[in-house]
Amino acid sequence: MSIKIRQLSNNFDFIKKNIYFADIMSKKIDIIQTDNTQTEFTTFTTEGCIMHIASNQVGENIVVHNSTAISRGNTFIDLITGEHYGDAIDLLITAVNNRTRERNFFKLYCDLLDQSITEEEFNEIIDNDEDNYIVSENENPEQERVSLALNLSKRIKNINSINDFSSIFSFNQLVIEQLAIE
Amino acid sequence: MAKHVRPGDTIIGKHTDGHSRRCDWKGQKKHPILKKRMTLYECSQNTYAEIVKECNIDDLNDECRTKFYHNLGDNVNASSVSIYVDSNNKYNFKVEAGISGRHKAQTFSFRNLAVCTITIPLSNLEKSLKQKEFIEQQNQIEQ
Repeated sequence: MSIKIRQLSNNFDFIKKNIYFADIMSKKIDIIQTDNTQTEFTTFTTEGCIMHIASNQVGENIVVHNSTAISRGNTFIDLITGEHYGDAIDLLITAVNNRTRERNFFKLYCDLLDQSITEEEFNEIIDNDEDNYIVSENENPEQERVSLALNLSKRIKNINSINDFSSIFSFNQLVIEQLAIE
Repeated sequence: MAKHVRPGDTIIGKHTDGHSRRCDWKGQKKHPILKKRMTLYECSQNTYAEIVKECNIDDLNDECRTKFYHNLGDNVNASSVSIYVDSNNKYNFKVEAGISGRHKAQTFSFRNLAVCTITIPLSNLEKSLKQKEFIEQQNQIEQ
């Protein structure tokens, strides 16, 4: 039985994977070929985790992956189960809801400008239903959460200041300013 | 009468005058210290704001009295300043020529309570966080 080993890449190739959540993930592929089988070994390396995965195609659309991983804490499990992305999805949903609040406010202000409502009615509507018109900034985030939000904010339009940043993610502005000064 | 230029320096006045090369209306937000719904303007590219009439100090809470400058003539001068104004209506800024050297500027004269704070650029936050992560990694390596 003859065995051939083909390396697709000599060095680790840096691929941009999940640029929102991890800065860099590198990938190296080795293919081991015998007379009648071919197994692909892929090594993924990212911050806090190294994964070795042996993949075998056993049917038309079926691939068996056997993996071994070393990670800091539960990083590997979190990546596989999607737990790693939970915080990011949570932040993005908050951002969308806050944009909706801003849009609702400006729509109501347009009604005030074209005199569909009076100023008293304008104030009353907002005071009675503040959650739909005014963004609350009451979260005191940890440093990691702020880092993740900063990565996400690079892909969101019109975030140019700490005010914009804290507003869209409902962060306490004073906490963010303190992080920026220290 | 004092000039304030550090990030975080805040003035509060009943009447406030000033100018800026760029003023963006940001709608209404709750001021983080006053906890009052106010109209926010973000002024950038060389901003100046000065108290021309003091507000009543007794109306301010203790935190405002200690953190905010409130004397007649106190001013802030910086690249970026956020201004919270106690008003519902959007202010019509006037454009005047020759205010800041060769450039035009938008002038304002707020006649409602206004709180002007020198803001920190967002890029400073990113740099600060990267520095902290680097220091933490260095400490872990040393351990």
